[in-house]
Amino acid sequence: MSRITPKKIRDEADAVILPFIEKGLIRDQHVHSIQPRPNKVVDVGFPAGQNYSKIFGKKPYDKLYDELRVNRLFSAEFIDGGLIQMSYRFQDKALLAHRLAYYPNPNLDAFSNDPESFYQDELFRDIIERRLTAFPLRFDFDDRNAKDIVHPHSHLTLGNLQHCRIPVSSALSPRAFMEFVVRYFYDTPEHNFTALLPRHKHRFETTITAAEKELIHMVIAVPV
Amino acid sequence: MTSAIKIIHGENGKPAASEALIEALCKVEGISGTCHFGAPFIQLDLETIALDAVLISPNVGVVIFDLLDSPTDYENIEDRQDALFHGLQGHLQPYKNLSHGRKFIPQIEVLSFNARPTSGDFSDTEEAASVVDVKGLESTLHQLKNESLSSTRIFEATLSAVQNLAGIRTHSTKRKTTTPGSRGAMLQWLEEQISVFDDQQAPLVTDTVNGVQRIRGLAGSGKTIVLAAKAAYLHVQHPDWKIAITFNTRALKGQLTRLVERFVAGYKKTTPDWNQIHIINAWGGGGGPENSGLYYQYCLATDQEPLDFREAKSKYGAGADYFSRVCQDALQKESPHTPSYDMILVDEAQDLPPSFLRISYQMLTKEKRLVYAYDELQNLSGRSLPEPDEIFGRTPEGAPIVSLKNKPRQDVILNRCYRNSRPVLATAHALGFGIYRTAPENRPTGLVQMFDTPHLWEEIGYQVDAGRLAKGCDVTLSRDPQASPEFLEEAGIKHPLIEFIVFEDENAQNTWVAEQIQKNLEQEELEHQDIIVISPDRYNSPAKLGPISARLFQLGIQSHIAGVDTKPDEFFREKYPSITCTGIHRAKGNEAGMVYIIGAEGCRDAAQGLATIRNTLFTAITRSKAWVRVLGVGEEMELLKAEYERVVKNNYALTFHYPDEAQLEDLYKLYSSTEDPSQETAVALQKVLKTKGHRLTEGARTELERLLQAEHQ
Repeated sequence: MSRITPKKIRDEADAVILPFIEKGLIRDQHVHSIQPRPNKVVDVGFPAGQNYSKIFGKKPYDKLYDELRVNRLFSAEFIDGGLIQMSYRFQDKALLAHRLAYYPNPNLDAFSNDPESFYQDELFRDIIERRLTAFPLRFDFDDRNAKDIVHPHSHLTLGNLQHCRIPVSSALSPRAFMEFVVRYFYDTPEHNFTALLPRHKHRFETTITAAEKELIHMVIAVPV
Repeated sequence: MTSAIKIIHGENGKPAASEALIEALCKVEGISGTCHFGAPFIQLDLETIALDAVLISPNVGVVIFDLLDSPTDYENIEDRQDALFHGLQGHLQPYKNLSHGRKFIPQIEVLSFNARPTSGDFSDTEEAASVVDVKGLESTLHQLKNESLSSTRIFEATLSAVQNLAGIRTHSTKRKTTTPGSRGAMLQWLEEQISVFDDQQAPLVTDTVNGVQRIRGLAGSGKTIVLAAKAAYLHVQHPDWKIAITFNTRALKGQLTRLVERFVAGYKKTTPDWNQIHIINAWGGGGGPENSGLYYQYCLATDQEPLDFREAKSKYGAGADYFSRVCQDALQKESPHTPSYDMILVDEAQDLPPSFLRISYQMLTKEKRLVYAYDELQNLSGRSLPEPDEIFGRTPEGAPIVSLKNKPRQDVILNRCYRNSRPVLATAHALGFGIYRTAPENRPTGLVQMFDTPHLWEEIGYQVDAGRLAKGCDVTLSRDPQASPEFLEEAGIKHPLIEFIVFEDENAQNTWVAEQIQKNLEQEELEHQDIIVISPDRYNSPAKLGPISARLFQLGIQSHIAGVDTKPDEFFREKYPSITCTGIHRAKGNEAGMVYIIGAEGCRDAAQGLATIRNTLFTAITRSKAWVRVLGVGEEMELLKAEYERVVKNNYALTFHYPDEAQLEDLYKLYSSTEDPSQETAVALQKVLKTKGHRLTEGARTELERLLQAEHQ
């Protein structure tokens, strides 16, 4: 596989959202952008605006979720309100960091308690009936701040818990991340949404250390 | 000779004096015009107040009535009169059409009206000169005669300016248009034409009767805006009243809130006191004040457990009309409780069960100020609202609990449609009723549904061109130009108002829509929120809308699918321009200049509930403020298009044979009735067949229905 450039990541981020827009599984989205920054840094992601980082503070999940949603701070919004955020940072054409997050809708319960959903479409009803207990998850890649075991280059954080950093074998492409979310959070025996994804194009090099491999960890498997 | 002065009632805090003035005005001869009470709002020193009353007359110009009611009113009369004069002039001057160059045309006089017979103690002859009592009213008015409003144009412009209580626009979109004649410029022009209340709507805002008021209106007649304006008006004139506005579709909450805020700001330059005025859902859910509904409040007030939707579903089982059941159950318990509201306004009453209206009635003080507004054809469940005696029931003695005795004030019809032009509305009605639908085998008519009361056609703004509007007779109807303002058709001069297009397949349809939208945005000066894409498919709209959204995404055009949300979701993204793609349910109550209806072939025919399907098409078409494109695929779409072409051939007139009583029964049973449990089975089967690419022929369908009905007996 050839070198992974910001443009390729940007194109893939759009490309993995597209089939779900078509299916009606994603109801709102942004076209990803490439932003050059000082020091040969290039950011790829959704339009975030100035107050983006301020939104994350100590606050209950449902408040955080509302603010993200209302301000449209996402790459895409699923039909059940689940939010996907994909951002990548490159420096000198090498991947410096990524932040891939999934924020499910904490208010799903209220959907099934909503008379208007009575009229809603089958796809919607099928998704809602699944009874997800919502918690946020995030795949982070951070080359600079990596520390063996304590802060793996690539790690998965569940439920926004600061020190929850499950080692991951490598950085994830948008394709890999999208499959994770769709396969494990949206596919049902009746609906195979994962099959709609385009094929893998990019694989990042392994960054997990030997010591980290001894712990329980996640392996990003990209078919050759 | 009966008086030629029309009275429009309003709230000025001086009911007795107002009554006296009305009585006196009714006896005045030789003077015509309109006297509006409790309006408009003017600046008086540092305060904003509503005028006690103002007469606008082609004979005497503008006469402000200052009602002398309490002892303090008799002090400083001249100063107050001067202030009133300046206040009203200040309100009217911004209207350029009331001036010739720099000369303000209407002549304004002020009369202080003393209702009490000769009890005023003003020894000052100067003051006495501008004070008039019941006896002297007529002669004083005649002395004031002048020609300032003798021109009809100026008279009507002045009346309109006065009735525009707050002088504000309700549509505050500012467009950037550079090309005259572009679609964007056309929409701008249309919006300017309808930014003031007309003479049907203005009285509704200020006139409040004790007792129940029913407002029936066409879709697009401005009911929601009028209700919001009325609530705002009563809130500022009676800040101690507890007022509730309630509705069915959750999305209306945001709209109503914004409207009430705007009107209150316009009237009194202040913000609403949300402790006194509540904008709340009909049902409501438990989750906190955000979701509190009127039904919930009633249950709490009568010490009962409210049921939420999920609980109702499990209690009553599938297919029940849940809200109706929970309301009925709540009403069973006869428990005394303190009335919570001085006034309740109900919007979308056609989508709410009569039992909910009864609950609202229970929650009111003894004056029973209940206003309910609805649209005959908009209900998607095929049910129309019954008459008041049926809704509210009768006393043990048999008398109706509610009757709308004061006809013009308690039973109002807004028959002017400001949203849809004549061709668009007539097309929507023709297709909704199946006027030109080909009669199926063995059926005497192609009609799908029809009003029980023929007279209703005239009430919603149709006129009889030929024949007789009565059951069993042939008739030809067309839009009364009064009720369908012609200016709405201007949009059709450059681009056709309506187009029905048949595509080879869905792909072709979706590609076309995306390309058209691109053109609308890039070349025709339309904004994102001027465009809606509607899928009338009741079970699958995200899957139908998705491909269009995807194509727009690829073209770099922002779009979203309107969803159901737990928090009030914005239908149009005002801060983030985005094309709204929506199913029919979320489309209700919204409007846009450019409407694309996709997959319309599904609206032509159905195994069950055809009336509801046709109502869906009606609702979709009537979302358009200017242009509508009805699109679909295949033979069904060809047939639908042919049905539309018959409307065109008849020049948008509706010619049909009005069914008689028996036929109406028959139509209802066949196309509207939802009591048949075999329906769900039939619908499910139809869906399964559809996914396999099959379609039931008319004959097979009838046979299937028959078999299912027999089975369920």
